[in-house]
Amino acid sequence: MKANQDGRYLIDSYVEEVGSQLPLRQRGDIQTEIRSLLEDTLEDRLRETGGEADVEMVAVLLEEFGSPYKMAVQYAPDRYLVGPKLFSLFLLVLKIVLTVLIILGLIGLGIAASQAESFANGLRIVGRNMLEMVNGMLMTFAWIVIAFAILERVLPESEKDDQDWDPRKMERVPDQDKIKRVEVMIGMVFATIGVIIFNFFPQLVRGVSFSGGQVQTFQLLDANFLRFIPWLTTLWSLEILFSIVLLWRRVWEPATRWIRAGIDVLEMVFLAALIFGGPLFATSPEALAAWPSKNLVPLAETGLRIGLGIALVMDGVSLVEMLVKQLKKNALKVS
Amino acid sequence: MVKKETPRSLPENLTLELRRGVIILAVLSQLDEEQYGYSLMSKLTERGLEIDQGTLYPLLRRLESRELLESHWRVEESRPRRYYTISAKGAEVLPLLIEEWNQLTEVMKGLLQ
Repeated sequence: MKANQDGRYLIDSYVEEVGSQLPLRQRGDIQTEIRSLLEDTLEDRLRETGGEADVEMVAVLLEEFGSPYKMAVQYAPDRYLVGPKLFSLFLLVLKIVLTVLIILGLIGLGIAASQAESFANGLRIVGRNMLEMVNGMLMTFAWIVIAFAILERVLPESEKDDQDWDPRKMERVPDQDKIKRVEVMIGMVFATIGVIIFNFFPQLVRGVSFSGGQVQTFQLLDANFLRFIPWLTTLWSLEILFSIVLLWRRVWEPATRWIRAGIDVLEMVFLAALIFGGPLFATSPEALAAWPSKNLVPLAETGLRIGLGIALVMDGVSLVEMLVKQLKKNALKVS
Repeated sequence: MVKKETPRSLPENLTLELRRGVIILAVLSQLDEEQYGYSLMSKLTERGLEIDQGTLYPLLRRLESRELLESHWRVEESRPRRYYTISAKGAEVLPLLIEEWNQLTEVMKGLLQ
């Protein structure tokens, strides 16, 4: 690292690191305040010295503020179950354990549902398993909190970490505006495949059955679903065009964020129409006969609707995240 | 976490503890006019009271949460700044603290002579 390069990125890293050790409720406000204080002090020093905000100057300033841990401790509430030193580890453990639980729960749910004898029975099994999963997650959450609360009070606090802390060794915070090219390209490829298959090779979207040693295909999707194809094609085409624009612009800009939000809204409307619309899988006698069991059709319907529902929620979350990011940026610019 | 003090940190920690009470009084006394963090820091330093930046700024928030200070964000030079000023409750408490401080310094002078 060159000593004379602009060291302001260290401020980003410092603010990010302090924030990661603070409760979510206070995080944003405290981060804005620390950034403002650091920039005020830095500006004053630049006025005095007439120099550049190089790595060394910013590092010295950060050392005066103290390590991110020390700063977070000062800002943290007086009483807490899990303090700043363990908070980021606590969140990490919580995320890993809960993710594993959800995955295992969903696998169990799938296995249990596949053994259902009827649709009503399948729904009962799904409901019971979901309740058990939520109960398990709450219990696990409680145990993790208790374990960390005990660690917080038992572990001796080492001053070594603070003394060894060197702002020069902090890594850059990833640029929030920079697009993730690989993600965009993968999305574009899938949208293109979707458009091609549904419009030019619809025969590929068929169910496959084996009877009498022969492979047979049957109409898998209901006519109700197929009438959505023009909408789906429009949405995928929008995705492709948008991805091309994004790859060309390289960074997220206000205009692209708002367009993304618009496409997300359209996708959500489309998903809601699918979820609450008519049947998704074909129920003609020919199609029903091709399924291993007739009972699987309603289960597959429910499964697909749950999947679409999850996609709808994820779209909603990404929409809110994007809007919050943009509104925050706007607020900073205006104010 | 349980704080383990070393010979190196002990005097530093004791000084910090000693100053903590003083800082509250110093801060309240200087906030009859609104100040943002850095301007308050500079003002205190100019008047001879040097405070660790990592101590002063969080303290302002704690005093605000105890309703002794009020604050608002304002943007200047394209940067948001939080301005603090003493609240009505803080203004009520300040004279009591000053009186207590005066008595305390008299007592301490006698004790340390």
